[in-house]
Amino acid sequence: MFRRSALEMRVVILTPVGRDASLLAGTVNALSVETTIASEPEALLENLSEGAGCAILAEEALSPAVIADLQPYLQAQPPWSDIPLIVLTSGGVPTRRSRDNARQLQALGNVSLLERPVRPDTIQSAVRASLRARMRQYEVRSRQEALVRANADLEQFAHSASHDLREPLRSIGVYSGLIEQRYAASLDECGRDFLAQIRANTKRMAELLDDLLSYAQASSIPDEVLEPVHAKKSLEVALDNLAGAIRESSATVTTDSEMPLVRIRESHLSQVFQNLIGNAIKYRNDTTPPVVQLSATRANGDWVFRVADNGIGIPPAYKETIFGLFKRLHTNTKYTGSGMGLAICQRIVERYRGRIWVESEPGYGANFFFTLPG
Amino acid sequence: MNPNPDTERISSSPSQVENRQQKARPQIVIIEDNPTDVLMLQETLSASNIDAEVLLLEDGEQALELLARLETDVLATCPDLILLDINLPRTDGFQVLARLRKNNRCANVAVIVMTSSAAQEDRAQAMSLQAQAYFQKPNDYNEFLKLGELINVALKRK
Repeated sequence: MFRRSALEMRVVILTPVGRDASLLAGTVNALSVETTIASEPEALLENLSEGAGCAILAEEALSPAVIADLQPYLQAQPPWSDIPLIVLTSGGVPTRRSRDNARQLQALGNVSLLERPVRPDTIQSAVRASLRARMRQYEVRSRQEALVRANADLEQFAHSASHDLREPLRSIGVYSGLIEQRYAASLDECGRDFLAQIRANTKRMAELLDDLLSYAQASSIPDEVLEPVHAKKSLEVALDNLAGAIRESSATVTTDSEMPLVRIRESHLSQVFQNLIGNAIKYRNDTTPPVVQLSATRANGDWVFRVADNGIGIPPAYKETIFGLFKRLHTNTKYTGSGMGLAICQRIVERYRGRIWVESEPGYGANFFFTLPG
Repeated sequence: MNPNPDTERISSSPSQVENRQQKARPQIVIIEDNPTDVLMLQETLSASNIDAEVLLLEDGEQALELLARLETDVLATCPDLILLDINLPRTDGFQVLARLRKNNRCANVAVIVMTSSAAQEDRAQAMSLQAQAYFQKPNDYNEFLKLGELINVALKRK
C-alpha cells in the first residue's frame, strides 16, 4: 500500500538539458516528496502510467511529436484524473513563437507555465499546489470506487434477497394453498379468512421482491454505446404485460406520434413504459375509463417522451417525492403497489443521462415526461 | 430398497422394462432439491391424473450419474420426461441439461425447466438448450398445478 501511494504522490521530472533535472529533484525533495527523473519522453509516459502526483517538464523537451504522444495519454485518463503538469518555459521577451508554443502547451490540459529562471520556492509552491489538487482527484476516485462498489453490492443484495427470500415465501404460499385444499372443510369462516390473508400477503410480498430486483437491476447498464432500439417495440412489450389491466379497466392507450429510435436497453424502456402506463391506469378517476396518450418529441438532441392520463392527478407538493423509494401517496386498500415503480423509472432514465418529471393538477390527470438520448 | 412408494428406481432389468411397457406408465425423472417443490410436483401429477413412474434426484451430481448410466447401460431406457430445477446444489440444472443434450442415447428427451427466477437470461438459456418448456414456479398452490398441462403436452408430444 505504501509503495503505491508513494508512486501516486511522486513528481516526475523531464528536463533533458544539463543538471536541470537533478537541481529540480533536490528542490522538490526538500518538500519530502519523491521524484523520478525521466531520461526521455517515452520514460515520461511510462512513469505517468505507473502513477504520479504531477510532472515538471521543460518546454524544450516538448517537441510537437512529444506533445502528440502525450495528448492521447492525457485524454485517456479516467474521469476523476486530470494530472497537473508544470512546464518551465524559456524566459525573455514574449514573441509570436513563444505565444504559439504556450497555446500548444495549454492544449495538454492541466498546465501551469513557469517562466525561467525560476526561484526554488516558486517551484516548491507550484509542486505543493499541484499535489494538493492531485490529492483531491484521488479522493474523488475513492468516492467513485466506493459508489461503484455500493451499486454492485446493492444489486448483489437485491439479487440474492429476491431469490433467497422467494424460496421460503413460495413455501408459505404453497402450504397455505395445501391447507385450503385439504382442510378448508374443517375450518370455520374465521380460519378460512386468516388463510386468505396469508395468501394475499404472500402475493404482495412476491410483488415487492420483483420490484426490488427491478430497482437493483436498473443500475446495471453496459459501458459500451448502445445500438438504438425501436421505442415502439418496448411499448408493445409493455402493453402486452399490461393487457389484463387494460382490459379490466377498459383503458384506451394511444400513441399520438411516431415512436423513435433511442439508445437504451429495450427491457429498460419497456419497464419505464409499463410502470408509467400501469400507474396511469391504476390511478384512474372513478367516473371515466382511463385514457393514456403517449408521444415523443425531439428537443436538444434528445427525445422527450410524454405519458398523459386523465386520472386523479398528483398534488404539486408531491411532484418530487413520488420518485422516492417506497414513497406512496395512498393507502394500500385504495391503490395497491410497492412504492417502487417511479423510483425504478427514475433510476433507469437517469442511468441513461435522461430526466423524468411530472406535471399535474389534482383532478386533471398527470403528464409524465422523460428524456432519452436519440 | 426405496422407502418412498411414490418414487421408483429406473431399472435396467428386462423384466421391469417389460412390465412398464404393459402398463405404459410414462417415466418421469424429477431433479429437485426443495422438499416443498417435490411435494407440489407430486400434487401436480396426481391433480392432473398423470400416472407416472417417478425417479427423484436431489442434486446435479445424482443427475449426472444417471446420465452416465443411461449412456453406458444399453438396457436402461431413456425417461419420457425430465422435470429439471435450475438452482441445484453442486451442479446446476443448466450444466445437467447441457450434458444431457450431448448424451449419445438420450439427448432428445423432453425437459421442462423449472425455476423461481424470472430472469430473461435463464429463460433464453433454457430455450437454447432445447427445453420443451420453462416453468416459473409460482407462489400460489393453484397456479403451480398448471404445470400439469405442460407435463401432459410434453408426454403427448412423445
